[in-house]
Amino acid sequence: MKTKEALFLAKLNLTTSKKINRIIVFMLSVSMIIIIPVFVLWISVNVSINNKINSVPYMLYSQVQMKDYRIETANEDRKISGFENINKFENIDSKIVYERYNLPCSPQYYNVTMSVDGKKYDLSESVFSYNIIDIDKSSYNFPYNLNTIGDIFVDSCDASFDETGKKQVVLSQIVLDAFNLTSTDVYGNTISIYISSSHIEGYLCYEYKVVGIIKREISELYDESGSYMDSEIFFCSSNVYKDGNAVLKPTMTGQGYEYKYLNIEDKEMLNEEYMMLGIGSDIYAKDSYASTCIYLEESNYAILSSLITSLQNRGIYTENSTIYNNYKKLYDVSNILTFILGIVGGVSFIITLLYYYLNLKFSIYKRRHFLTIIRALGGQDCDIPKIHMLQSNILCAKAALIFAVIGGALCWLIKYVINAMISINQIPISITISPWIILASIITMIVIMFAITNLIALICSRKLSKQPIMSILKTQ
Amino acid sequence: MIKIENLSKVYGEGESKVIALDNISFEQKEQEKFIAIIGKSGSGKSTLLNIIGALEKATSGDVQIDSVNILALNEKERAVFRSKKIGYIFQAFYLESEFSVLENVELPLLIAGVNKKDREIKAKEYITKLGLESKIYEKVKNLSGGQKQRVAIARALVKEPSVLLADEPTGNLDSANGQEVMQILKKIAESGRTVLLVTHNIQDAQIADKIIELQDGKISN
Repeated sequence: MKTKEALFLAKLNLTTSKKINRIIVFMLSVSMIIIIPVFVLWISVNVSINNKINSVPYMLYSQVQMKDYRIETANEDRKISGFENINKFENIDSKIVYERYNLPCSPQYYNVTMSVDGKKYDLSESVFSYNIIDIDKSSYNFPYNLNTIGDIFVDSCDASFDETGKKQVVLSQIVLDAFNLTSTDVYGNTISIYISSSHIEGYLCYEYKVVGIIKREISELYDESGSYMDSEIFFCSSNVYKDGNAVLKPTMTGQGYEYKYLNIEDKEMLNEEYMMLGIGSDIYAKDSYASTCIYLEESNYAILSSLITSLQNRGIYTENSTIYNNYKKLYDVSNILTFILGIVGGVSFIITLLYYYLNLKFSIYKRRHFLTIIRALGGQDCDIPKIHMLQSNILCAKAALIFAVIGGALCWLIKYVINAMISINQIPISITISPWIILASIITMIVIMFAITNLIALICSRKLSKQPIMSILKTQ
Repeated sequence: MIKIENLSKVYGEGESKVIALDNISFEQKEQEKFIAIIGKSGSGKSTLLNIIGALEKATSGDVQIDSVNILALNEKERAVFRSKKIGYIFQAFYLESEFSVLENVELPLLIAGVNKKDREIKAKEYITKLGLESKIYEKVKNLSGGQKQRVAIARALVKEPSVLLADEPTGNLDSANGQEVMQILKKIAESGRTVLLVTHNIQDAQIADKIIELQDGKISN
């Protein structure tokens, strides 16, 4: 029998049990509608989130509550040769005067060069043309008066040692801006910053490997001398000591700034200097949040862990969530969701197939005489399975149309629902569900559905098609 | 033309062996268009009909219909042969009750691959010939026994077979309907087709051109 005729007969056959066929189409559609988002989510999570975890540009997103933290200067014991006892200023005017004219590394007094793996870069012209945002913008609206590059470096970057004792630094964007550099210019490279002026010459930092870049939320600086400048640059140190003890002692020499830490207390004290927070001095102390992002180009959870630990060890309340953690959470939640829905959808699909199998088997048994007559009238043995497989295809096609539309829409919506849930936590991550994944998943599920239902039709009808004609016709 | 030589059919083996047909031979003559096969229940008449109709295989012997030895055909060839040469009328009708009269009658043409338009025309022609034109779109389950049998006859005739096999066609009918069916079969035979009737009713067989009586698998008369 040709396919066209078999199809005609299949359609005719389907009219004999419309109600049951409607139920089968409904059940097939529903189980597929449950399964398809599971499938899509599972693929998207594994494809996109895994990629993101490995390529996410920044890893730590912290919010620190400020109310329990007081800014304290730790400069009291630090002496700068030729500039004695420069500590707290009585007022902002004194500070400004000092900064502008007296600091050894005020812009007009010195040349600063940064070498990156041997290649030298000068200060950007913008430093001298006051393009960088003013320090005390809110109070005095002074033009650019960046303390010193030294201050920038000291205040906004985190110099430390890695676990092997090698010098490493997390640079701030401000430093890069001052030299007109980008993060890719310096990351992973070794830098040195050299200062020379009429009265001072030396390395601000010498051969530090850049292991991270701090993006500034706003570009104002914290003045390490203790004045109440607003700063919202926040970072924390990821210092790791080789043996738990300090290595160097901070000394100020005429050769420039060279920090040597004698012991852990000194280091901790210096670290506190580096803790720049989002409020001003005591006068302006209030609850607020400071936030920043530390960019690490490598997804190194060990570094993140130590960053978070060092924050917590200082007794600072933090709401930490690394991008990695959030993606991981999302990954885990998605896996749980896919597992549960997968079970539900899978069970539903199995029940549907079982229902289809039993009904088809019964239908074939009930109509065995008529189906055998088709063979008696000239139909081939293979026509019986052919007709039933075409019947399956018709039912599957109806179910496929329903589930493709509803399931596809559901998959599209899932992305927005999940991303909306994520954004509630103000975590800048999202998942992407490619329309191609949705399409491929729908097609895959349709193919599976067709394959299984056709197999059921074949199994149910094959036996009848092989039995001798009269042996069937003679049965009651 | 039907020619049977030394036809035997044995079911089972050993002690449970049943000889349904025992070395039967007969040949249809030119003028014998309506052949009736009679016998008691278990005499082998239905078995003989089924073998002639290529629905069952014989154990041994030859069956030739229009010079084609049907026992030498493979399964696929037998199906094609059935499709082209043989029409069947069963006692139980074997119609699809949820299909309409038209859909049942056009079934053999559908199987043969005839296009929709032609098979509808042909089916309607035979439905009309059998007086069922008013019931064309009626579901078979709503018809009487006699009407169902006429639908079965129409289905058997629609592909214009050279041989029409009828196995107890009046078995489930009352006498009036039974008579009517026999008259239809008579007319079919008169139109030039070979009609092979199996019946246990001697009165039905009386209108045949030739009566073959089977007893215990053999031709007794």
